[in-house]
Amino acid sequence: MHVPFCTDRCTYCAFATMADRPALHRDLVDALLLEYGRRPALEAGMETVYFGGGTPGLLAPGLLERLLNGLQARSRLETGAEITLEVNPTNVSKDALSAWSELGITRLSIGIQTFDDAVLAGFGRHHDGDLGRAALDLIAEHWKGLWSADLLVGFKDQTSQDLTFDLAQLLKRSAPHISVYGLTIEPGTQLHEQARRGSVVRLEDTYMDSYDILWSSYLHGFGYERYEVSNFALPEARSRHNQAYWRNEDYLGIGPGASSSRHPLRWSNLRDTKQYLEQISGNRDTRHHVERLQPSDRLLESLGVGLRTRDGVDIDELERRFGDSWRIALAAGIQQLKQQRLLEEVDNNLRIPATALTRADSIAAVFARTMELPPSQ
Amino acid sequence: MNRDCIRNFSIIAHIDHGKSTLADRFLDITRTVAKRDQKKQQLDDMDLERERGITIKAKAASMDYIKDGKKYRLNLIDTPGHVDFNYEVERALAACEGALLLVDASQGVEAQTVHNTMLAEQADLMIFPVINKIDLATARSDEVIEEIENALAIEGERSMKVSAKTGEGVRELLDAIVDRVPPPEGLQDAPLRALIYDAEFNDYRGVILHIRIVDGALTAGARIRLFEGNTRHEALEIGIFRPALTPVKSLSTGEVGYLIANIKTLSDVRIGDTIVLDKDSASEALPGYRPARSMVFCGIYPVQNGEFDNLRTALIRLQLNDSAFTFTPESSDALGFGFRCGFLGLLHMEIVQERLERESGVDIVQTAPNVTYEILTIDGEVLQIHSPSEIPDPTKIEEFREPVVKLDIVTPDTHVGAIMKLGIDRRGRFLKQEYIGPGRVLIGFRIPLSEIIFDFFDKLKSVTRGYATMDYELENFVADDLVKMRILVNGEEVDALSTIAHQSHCEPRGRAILKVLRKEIRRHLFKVALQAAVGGKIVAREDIAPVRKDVTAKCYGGDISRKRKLLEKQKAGKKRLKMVGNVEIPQKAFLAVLSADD
Repeated sequence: MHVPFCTDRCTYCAFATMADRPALHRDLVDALLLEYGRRPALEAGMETVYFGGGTPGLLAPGLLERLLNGLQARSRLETGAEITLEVNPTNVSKDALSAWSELGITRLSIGIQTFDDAVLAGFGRHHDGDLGRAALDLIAEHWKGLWSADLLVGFKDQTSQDLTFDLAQLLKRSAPHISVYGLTIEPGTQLHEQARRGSVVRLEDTYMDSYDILWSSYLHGFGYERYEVSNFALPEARSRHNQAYWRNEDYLGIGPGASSSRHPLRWSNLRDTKQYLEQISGNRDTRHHVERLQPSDRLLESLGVGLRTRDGVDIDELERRFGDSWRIALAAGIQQLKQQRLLEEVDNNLRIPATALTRADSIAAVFARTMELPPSQ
Repeated sequence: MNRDCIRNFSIIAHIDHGKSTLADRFLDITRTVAKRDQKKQQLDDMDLERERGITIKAKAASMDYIKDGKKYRLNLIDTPGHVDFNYEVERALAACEGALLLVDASQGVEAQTVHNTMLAEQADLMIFPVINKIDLATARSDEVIEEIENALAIEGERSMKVSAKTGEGVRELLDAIVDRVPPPEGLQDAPLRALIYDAEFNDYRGVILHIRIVDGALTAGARIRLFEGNTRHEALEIGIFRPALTPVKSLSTGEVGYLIANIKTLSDVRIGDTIVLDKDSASEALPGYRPARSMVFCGIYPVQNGEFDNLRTALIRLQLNDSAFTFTPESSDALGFGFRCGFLGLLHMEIVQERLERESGVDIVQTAPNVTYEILTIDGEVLQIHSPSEIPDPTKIEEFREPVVKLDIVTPDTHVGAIMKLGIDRRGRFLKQEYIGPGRVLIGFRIPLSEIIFDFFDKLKSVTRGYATMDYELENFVADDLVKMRILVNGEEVDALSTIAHQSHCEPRGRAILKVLRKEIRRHLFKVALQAAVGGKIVAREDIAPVRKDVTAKCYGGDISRKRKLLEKQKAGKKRLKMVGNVEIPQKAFLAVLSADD
């Protein structure tokens, strides 16, 4: 469920967002439910729900409740389903935490990025280091469910001490889950424009290489598992929702800019919230891009996302989806990568050894280049 | 047509001195081409020729011109303007009695003007200078006339001054052609003897022979025989160039035209052969031509091994049109099965490569070109070496010889120092320096061909700010201290990157090649070691560090298609890559070693 509202737009952000308009909250919630009602009903129950954005933490608990009820009116929520809410430090209060808990939210994902005031201000974030720490203290003290904090690495002038300091703040509060995202410069962002005009906005790659060793060994020492290249979790604290993406399973995305996958189809919605709302109220299609995937497309995707995880790609699942042909298609790549010790088969999974996980994209690219496709029909 | 009314002539000129524009003006004034059919530069037929503004194949046009109430047939035989195609110039000139020596009024005499004038003199033609572009503000006609006298020993006072662009003086020039170019000689009543001075292949008509009737006459429908080829044909169609093919009933002594005789491929025809009537068994052949000789060779391989047959078909097709282009199958450990191809020079090579890609759609990898070498073995045998892979074991070599050319450079005298340095760096031996006009110098070198085929001309242009021109002529093969330098990628020899180099140049050359390779080969997931070796000795080494980490950004549902598209880009890029072991070498790298600057 994509809630596009944000108090301000961060300079690095390329998601479909718009400046917050509380008067539109109710319209959006109704529109989301209308779109959901138009999609084919889910055959099985819902295993995970993710309120992302944007900043869904801006929605009043009453509207979140309306959304959750609406969802369950058409399909059942599995027992023990994971329900995640994305929030910013400014949204967190003792009252909000208890309200979210009562609604059945099981997991919070909080955008911290860093505790460095100057950097936060530079990115256009609406909180400073103290507010971030205060929000985490509240969560650590009052939140009974799982939670995760996002950190950003690779911004200009970031030192290894800066990074260790940021990590230490999370470790002190025993964050069950930490995402460490490398800063990327996406087209259409303010950051992109700054870089285009010649400003240095990112750290050089050579620093990033050594920082990666630093943060991953640090987190490893504290008992975190790097279960995906950017994601670290204490035991039993992995994000179930994101793992479904990485296994390339089907998912339904509702809201402006949201993507859905229902093999062999994949589609995404209009990114502009106003346009999205108009389409919904005019009873018209909100999708602006629909594609039909060939099995080879899907195979490539399964590797592209699956190899980024520590578990790798499930071989039984490959066989179920692609029959025997996957092994023929991938034979050359598998042989080459195994020889170079960049790929292994463990517990019936095709995976990258832990030491090479940061090169997952380059390794997937080897498959892209060596893939043998049966002649198309 | 009465041979007294025929004038056969060609225009010899340096590139850009306005030959094609002048030809267009002739067609215009003689109304040979209706205005509405006019494309700029009528005689340049191939797309490539028009794009590059150069003439590759000799072309012809028959024009009717009336002077003093009498109708004349002017046959213009166009000649190529690049050193690679000198052999075509010679052939075209043999069909003429006169040559216009066209010189740009501001550029003056160039190296190629000197060479082509010599060719025309050897062919015993009536040569007269024409100064073109006199409308330019920078024109210096009188100086240029002086240069012509000094450099070419041709009387300048009879020079014509024209502007092909504005048409000024062009009518007077046509009059002068009638007055000065002698009519063709030849025996009108003798048995037919016609010279094949060129041939082209047409998809619908088969081979079209370009011919000059030397003795007798040829009528449509005649039974003919190609003298040397000893094949018999029927003259299905004969005609003249207007410049489009225009059939006529007969061609008489001295006339120039074409012949279509149901000949399937160009390889069935020898340019320079004589056409006789089948019944005239006693006829003697006309003096022919020396065959064109390939001097530059390179390997051409399909990127996809499965495309080998398509590539071969494409090469055969190209050869139909270009008998100077040769190819034989070869194989390379690194590149698989492909062909060793021979060219007249580097421009010829570029043109063939461009036509291959354009016309066949086969993705190709091309190796660095090399010249033909000779090796004298200790057994006294002389081997022709067209590829580094053909070099025998060093212990079997008595002498390693390379082709050496006589190189002429014409330049403003302010650049003499820079040219001397360039020539000597490239192992050239200085021969002479002569003033051909105020401030203009002709410099001569004896220099190995291998040193000038790659980028010498570009270098020359850059040290003289574009003012110098050059031309060369093969002299002989000379023994020198030559060796094969191998390139190793992760310990594996890449035979397609091997080169032949002078012993004293190996180390800097090796280092330069590896530097280029390092730039062209992307980082891999493992370290890639590049080495240059002569015999067992490593003379240079470069390493490419492995990828250590990719950017690890967020990856959620909306990113999955984006991720796939990024991967698909890699898949598309693969088309232009060759695998050596596990290392991907882009096609560009095989040619980039050429531009390696030591």
